Amino acid sequence: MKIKTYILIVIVLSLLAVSSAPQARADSTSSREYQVKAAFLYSFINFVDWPEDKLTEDNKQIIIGIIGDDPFGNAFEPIKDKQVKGKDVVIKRFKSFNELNKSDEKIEAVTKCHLLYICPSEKDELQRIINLVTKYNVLTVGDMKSFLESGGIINFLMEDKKVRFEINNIAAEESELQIRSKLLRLAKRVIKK
Amino acid sequence: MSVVQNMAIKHKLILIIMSTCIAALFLASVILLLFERGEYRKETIDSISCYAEMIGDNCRAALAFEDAEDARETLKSLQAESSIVFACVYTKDDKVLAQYQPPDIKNEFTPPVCKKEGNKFGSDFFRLFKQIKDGNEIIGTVFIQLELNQMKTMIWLKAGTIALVGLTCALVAFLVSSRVQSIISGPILSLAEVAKAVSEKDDYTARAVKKSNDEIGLLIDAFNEMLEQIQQRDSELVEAKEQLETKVMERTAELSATNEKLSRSNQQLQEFTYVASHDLREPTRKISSFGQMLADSLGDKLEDDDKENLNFMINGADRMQQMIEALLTYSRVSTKGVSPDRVDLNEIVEQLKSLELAVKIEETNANLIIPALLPAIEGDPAQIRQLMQNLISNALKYQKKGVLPEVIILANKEENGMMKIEVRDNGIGIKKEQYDNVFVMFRRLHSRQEYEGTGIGLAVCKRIVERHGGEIGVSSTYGEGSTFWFTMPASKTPTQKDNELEESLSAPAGYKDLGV
Repeated sequence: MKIKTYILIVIVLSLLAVSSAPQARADSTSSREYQVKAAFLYSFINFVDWPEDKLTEDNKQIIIGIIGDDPFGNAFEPIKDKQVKGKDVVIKRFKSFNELNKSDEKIEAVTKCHLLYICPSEKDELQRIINLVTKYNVLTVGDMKSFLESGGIINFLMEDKKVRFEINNIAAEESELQIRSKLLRLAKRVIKK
Repeated sequence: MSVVQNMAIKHKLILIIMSTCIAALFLASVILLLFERGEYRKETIDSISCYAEMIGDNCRAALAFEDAEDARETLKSLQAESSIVFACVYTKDDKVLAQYQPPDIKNEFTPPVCKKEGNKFGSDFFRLFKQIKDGNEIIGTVFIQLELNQMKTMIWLKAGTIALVGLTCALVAFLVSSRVQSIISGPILSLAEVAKAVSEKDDYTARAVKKSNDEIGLLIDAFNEMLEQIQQRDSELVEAKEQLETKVMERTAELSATNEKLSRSNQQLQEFTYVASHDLREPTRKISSFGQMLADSLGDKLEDDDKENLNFMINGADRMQQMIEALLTYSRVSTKGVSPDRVDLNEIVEQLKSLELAVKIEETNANLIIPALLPAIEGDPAQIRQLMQNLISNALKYQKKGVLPEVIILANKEENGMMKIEVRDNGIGIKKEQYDNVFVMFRRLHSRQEYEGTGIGLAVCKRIVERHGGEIGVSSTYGEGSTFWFTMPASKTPTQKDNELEESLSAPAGYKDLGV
């Protein structure tokens, strides 16, 4: 009787382990990718100039907003204390666009972000989000097809397992954002006039 | 070191100046070169640091986004500096993001391990690490390696230029020093010349010319003063010498006058003696001969007393004759000045034996022994003969009663080159107190009854010996015998036999061996 129970427990445990393993693996690779992307987000900020009134001396913080299903997990952990342009970085999370609409506060908060990462989950609301923040000098960063065509400024893409990006400079100019040539140089694709 | 010391003053001065210049030039060159090298190095560090910084700055984005391609592109811009042989960019994890090599270099260069910020000069390469910072955070490192050939060539060129300049300077220094050294050497050389002239020609009137007021001038002054003093002393000496000469001449004149007088008076005296004795002889002869004739004719007719008286008279006259004879001989010794000649003593003795002394020797049964050949001496043959005759006849005369006279004649060479001749007898001997007396004129130690004689013989011998530059003397054991000795100069023209004899006579033990 005892032995049987023992064996049963072992089987269940191993099944669990096996089932969770790929996910764990999936988690580790994706978390590596998102660690890089998180670092990139910080780096983007270094190579982008906001207009005077958006990013002043008085501003003590740079706000990175994440709207949608946050894929980063704890990717920001290693770099959360890092300063960019001499200012602290704050990560604000927003559940979804629909959620956002319900609260004026939240909408205001979103417009206050310097950089807004639009998660793939918000694919359907993409255009609306972008229209919302266009006037508010927000650097929109996405991770989906046709992000730039929709008016997004920087879009991540993967090439040979390496994280790359493409830039829509026209959209940047519309948002009164100045993207440095160094960054533009590194983009796989740049949409400009 | 002695090579340097023996160089001429001119060369010494040039050497001093040249070696100083060259030492200074060399030191300056070395310092300059080191300074140049330092400058070059500083420049290199500055320019490469500059490159590294620019690269680093341009790679910020590439590093932030791990874009190796972009980094590589940035690094390519280093082509502008041809001496850069390698460059690379490291991520903050010290991994190589991108590297660069000039297109013409074939060999693959392995990037070194990332080091902290710094630079190092190797023998052929210069390496520099520069960190890329974002605020205080290090986001990457740039590494550049530079080939130093160009820098080396520059430095060698500089060194060559400096060496050339140095050589030219040395040449100019040589030319200048060759001229300038005469300031010192000129006066010294002219002084040396004057000194040489003075010593070679004994010309003390020469003077050196003073041209400067320094120590050399002092030297020249002192030199001239010395010459002055020497000249003065010279003239004083000359004066004194002249005075002396005058004095000497005066004295000589005085002396010769005196000499003349003396010699004249001597001559007169001797002539007088000669004439007088000659004149004296005649009457005494008359007295003697007539007295004898009287004795012969009246001999029997006279009384004993008268006969005795007559004999006294005749003897007196005879004696007087002898004395006059002796006086004559003495005077002859003084008057006759014959040029000295080689006198063979052996011949003399032989002749005396067979002629003058023959009778006496036979009468006394004397033994005349000449153990070894006698040497030849330099002197007046007649006088030497007289000398030997006197000595030998004395030896025979003063014989001991009952003892057969034995006369030994020996010769010995003295240290001063004189010959010493000894005449030994076994006669009555002479007391020590009388040694000097025997040579005094007319002095006799015995009465006429004991031994006859005039008292002149030895005086004559002394005179002869001293005339020849020798000495005469006697040593005796009273009652046993006497040894009369005299010294004479050896013959100035000896024959070979004389020389051989002389050799053998030099040994002092010569006659001792004969057991005499």
